[in-house]
Amino acid sequence: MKQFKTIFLFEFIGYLKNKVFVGLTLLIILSMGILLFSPRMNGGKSIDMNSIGVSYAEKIALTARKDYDLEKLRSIISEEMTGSQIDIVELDDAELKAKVDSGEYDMGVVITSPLSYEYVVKTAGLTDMTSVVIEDALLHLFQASELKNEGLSDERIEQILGSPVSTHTDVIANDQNQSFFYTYILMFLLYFSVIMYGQFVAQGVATEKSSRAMELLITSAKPLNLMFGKILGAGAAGFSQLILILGSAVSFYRINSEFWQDNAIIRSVFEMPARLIFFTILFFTLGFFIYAFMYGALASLASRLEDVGALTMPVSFLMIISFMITIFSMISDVDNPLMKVASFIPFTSPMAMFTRIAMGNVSTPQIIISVVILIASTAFIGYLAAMIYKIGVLMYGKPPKLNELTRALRNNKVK
Amino acid sequence: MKLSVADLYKSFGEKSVLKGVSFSADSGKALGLLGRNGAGKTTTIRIIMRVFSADSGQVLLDGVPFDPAKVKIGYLPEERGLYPKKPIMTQLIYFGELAGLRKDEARKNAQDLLFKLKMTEFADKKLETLSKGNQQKIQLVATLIANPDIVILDEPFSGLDPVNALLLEDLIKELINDGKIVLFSSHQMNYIEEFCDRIAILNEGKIVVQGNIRDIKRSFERNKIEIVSQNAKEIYDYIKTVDADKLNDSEIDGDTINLILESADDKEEIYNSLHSFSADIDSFRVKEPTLGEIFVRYTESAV
Repeated sequence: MKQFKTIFLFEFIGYLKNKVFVGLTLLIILSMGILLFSPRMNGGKSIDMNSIGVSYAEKIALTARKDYDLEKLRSIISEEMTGSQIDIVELDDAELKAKVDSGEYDMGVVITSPLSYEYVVKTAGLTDMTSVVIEDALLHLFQASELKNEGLSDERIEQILGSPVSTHTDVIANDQNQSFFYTYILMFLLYFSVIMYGQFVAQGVATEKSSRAMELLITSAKPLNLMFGKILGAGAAGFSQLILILGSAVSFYRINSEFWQDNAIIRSVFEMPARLIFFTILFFTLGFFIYAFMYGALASLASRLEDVGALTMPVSFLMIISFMITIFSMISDVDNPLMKVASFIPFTSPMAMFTRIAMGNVSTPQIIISVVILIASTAFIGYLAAMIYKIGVLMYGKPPKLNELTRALRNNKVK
Repeated sequence: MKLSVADLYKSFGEKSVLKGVSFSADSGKALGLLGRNGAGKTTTIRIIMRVFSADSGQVLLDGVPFDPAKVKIGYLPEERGLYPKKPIMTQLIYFGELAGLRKDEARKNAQDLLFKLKMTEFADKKLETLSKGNQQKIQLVATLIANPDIVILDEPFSGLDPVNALLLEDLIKELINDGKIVLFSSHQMNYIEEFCDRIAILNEGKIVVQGNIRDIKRSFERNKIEIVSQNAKEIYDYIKTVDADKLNDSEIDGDTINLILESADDKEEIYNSLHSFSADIDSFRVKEPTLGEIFVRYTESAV
């Protein structure tokens, strides 16, 4: 036990003294500080996240092939697109194209009938919403003129077309609008920590082997202590880093919370339900260990640092697949059949089950079953990893093939 | 104390590496463990250190199975290596603690050993900034930090310059005088002859010969004779004529004549011939085999 403690502390303190580790942690804290303090610095204006992702063409040429009230259309469009310059021009198709091509206009719009139009742009922007605005305006004008033909007064027409729809959503389980962002952030953090700390563990094991420090280590300490000390040391370092980062993020938010009341996304992230914090810790811990064991065991088979990447690739892939399944399901339906299966497979369940708890509908017995499977598998993988590690650290030369490894494992167990 | 290895067998999969290895080593003496590459030395050492267990056989200390938790072993592996990117004192303390010392004890022992090896100024440097020879000395500190009762040194002199080699020689003599059991493995036979009273030669997983170096040398046929004289040429010609039937091989090199006799029993007759020739002879002696020759004799069968 003393030996384990020595190894654990050596590894843990090693991280705290690592300049890259400390630098990265401080950098993340600093950038979060800048984000969360920004409205205070900005004189109270928070970043309007709702407007991110929407843009309009800045200079628009408007022309019609038939008799059409372009003035009226322009006034409606400019109400929506306040920052854009809209010119009514008389140009044929070729001239319009030339003007757009030369950059005089960003967009040329040709109204061909009350309900149809063509437009010319140099490049079609992904987030450009100009056409949506134009369509709405055309439709509005068409509906208004048709209603007027029916004999309705202008006031009545405005009343009908301007009627707003009011809505109130009653969310019984999870509000995915709220839960999406914090779940996404947590899954990204989990993905990132597992890959990063897994690689740290793998590099650490392989460095000891390639530098031959292992020759001395293996004769001074039990392999189990070496492996678990190293992995728990990395785990403790990772946990401290996350606590530090999340802790300072929460503090920064608390200090500036008055500025963030209008921002639903930021608010939802920092005011996530308390029970999810429990599941975060649970799934982060189990997810970290099951992957760290695999990283450690596979890295012990490498004789040179260059082999580590290839050997640990399958583990990283497993994590990437798990992340992909979860993230893509978050956009559509987190309780889809694939996610239901994934939430019971130990390698994917830390992400899949957590996401279903946060965003979907999953019963308590299912959560318990998933967690029990995950704990049992983590323990089993830990045992298997220790066996591989014991053999691996003494193997030099080419990394063994799978059948060689299983044979070595079997031999070792019998004796 | 007496460390004995009794009838060790070990195989890895199909490949049997040790096929009945037995030898013993006493405290206050160094045992030279010799063998060609792949003969099973490292496997034997690892079994002694409980890195893995033997398929059969025992490691005994004073006749009882020995407990590595109670008896400290210092090991200088042939493949050297510590943490290249960590400060020297940090890792020395770590290895001291792993060997069971308290942190302050480990620090003190490390400081003492660094001083003895004239390395004090490097204590806070990273290992990779040191020269190869100095890294070797740090490795030696890591080996001896816990003041072990049994010291296993695998090629301790490789890579050391003559000055550092002298430092190490003194240190090894000190270990032997302190009553430690020293297992010494090397291919540099001069060092084996210098430090070891006894040797055990391992070949293809078996001990082919072991015992006192003097006894082993005497056990070889004593049919090689060296004669040194000012009149070497005349003596050489004389012997070649009168005792030709007793000579297997002969050569002359300046003042020195080397004879290989058909039988060691003919020694006396050669001596008598020389006596009757009444030449002025500086020395007449039986030439014992060198350790190198003994080593080759016992191991050349190995591929």
